[in-house]
Amino acid sequence: MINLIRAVFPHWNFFDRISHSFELEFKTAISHQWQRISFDQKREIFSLFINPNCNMVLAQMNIIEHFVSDLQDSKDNKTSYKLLTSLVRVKVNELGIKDQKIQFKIVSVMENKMDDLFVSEIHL
Amino acid sequence: MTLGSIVSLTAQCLASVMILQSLELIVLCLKKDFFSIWSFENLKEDLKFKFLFSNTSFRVTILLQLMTAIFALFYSDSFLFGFLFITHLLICMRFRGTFNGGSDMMTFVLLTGVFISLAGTTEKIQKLGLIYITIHTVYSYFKAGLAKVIRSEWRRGEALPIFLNRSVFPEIRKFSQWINKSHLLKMIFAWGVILFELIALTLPFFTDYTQVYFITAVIFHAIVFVSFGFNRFFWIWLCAWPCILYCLNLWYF
Repeated sequence: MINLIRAVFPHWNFFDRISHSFELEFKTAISHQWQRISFDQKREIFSLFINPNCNMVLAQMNIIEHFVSDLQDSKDNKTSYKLLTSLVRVKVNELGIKDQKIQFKIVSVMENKMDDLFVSEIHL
Repeated sequence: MTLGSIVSLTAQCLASVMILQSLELIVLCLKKDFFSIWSFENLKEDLKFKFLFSNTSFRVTILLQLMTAIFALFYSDSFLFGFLFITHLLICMRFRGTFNGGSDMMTFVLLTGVFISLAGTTEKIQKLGLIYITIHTVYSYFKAGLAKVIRSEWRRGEALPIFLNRSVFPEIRKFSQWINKSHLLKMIFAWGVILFELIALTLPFFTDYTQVYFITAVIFHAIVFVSFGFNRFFWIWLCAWPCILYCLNLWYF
């Protein structure tokens, strides 16, 4: 519960510690090749005032970080996993890939070193 | 400016920012993919008082926040800002803590400070609300700088290109590769950020320079927006500045 209201208790450490960044990759039953999911954004007019697409992508990236944090803390990550699976499904659908079995993984990146941190089960 | 006009100005700025935040969320809710991810079905196990967080309740909360913020723009009333605090909290909880990290935290700081100032019946309590906002904002700059300066990767200038390389904008990632080639550039940018943030703590002692710092802060937040797309950070930190300019002058009276 405290975690849900943590924004009420501010802390002001921004961009301080260089930690791992995470990439999301998926493969389908047909391709068998891991493909990176992109979160790249284009600049939009008026985005200084209203920036829904970029803020949604930032929130999507938070889902990955939240999942990894739960994983590392050995917390119950059922909700994080559900969110992550839905995120992958949405991103894969955006690429025009529908109705296929998919598997995804989280890759931990530090400088040029990449490690598989988590590999999901196969989803319908 | 008088105490009353500063409280009103801060309240109006905050209401305007919360209108923008609400509109952003309304646009998101209209996207079909949004509830495919942040559906009540996905989130319900984490949430207590489930009726407050259904997909419909979420939409209603955002609409209520928008309407309240519009009212608050014209009527600076503590009840309205207390209500905005609740809607903002419900929205953050629906995103498992925060939707937009630090900007949500600063929104709470401003909501609390404005609420105290508007609810305060004496001048002292009204000032207390503004001082609360000022302390948090000045400390937010300083703490961010302190957290950086204690890390060798920041002092060596290596951290900044790494963070820029994680931007969602490809052109910023290209820029990070460009500055990464020059040790001098890396050091200039990194120490520019560190010094700007650390200097905030000296503002109460050099109030003549507060306006210069304010202009630098606007440029700094604009650069952060261009680099990472943090528009919410830009506006909410700017909202706090009328309080800072007012409160730092109180220091000498």
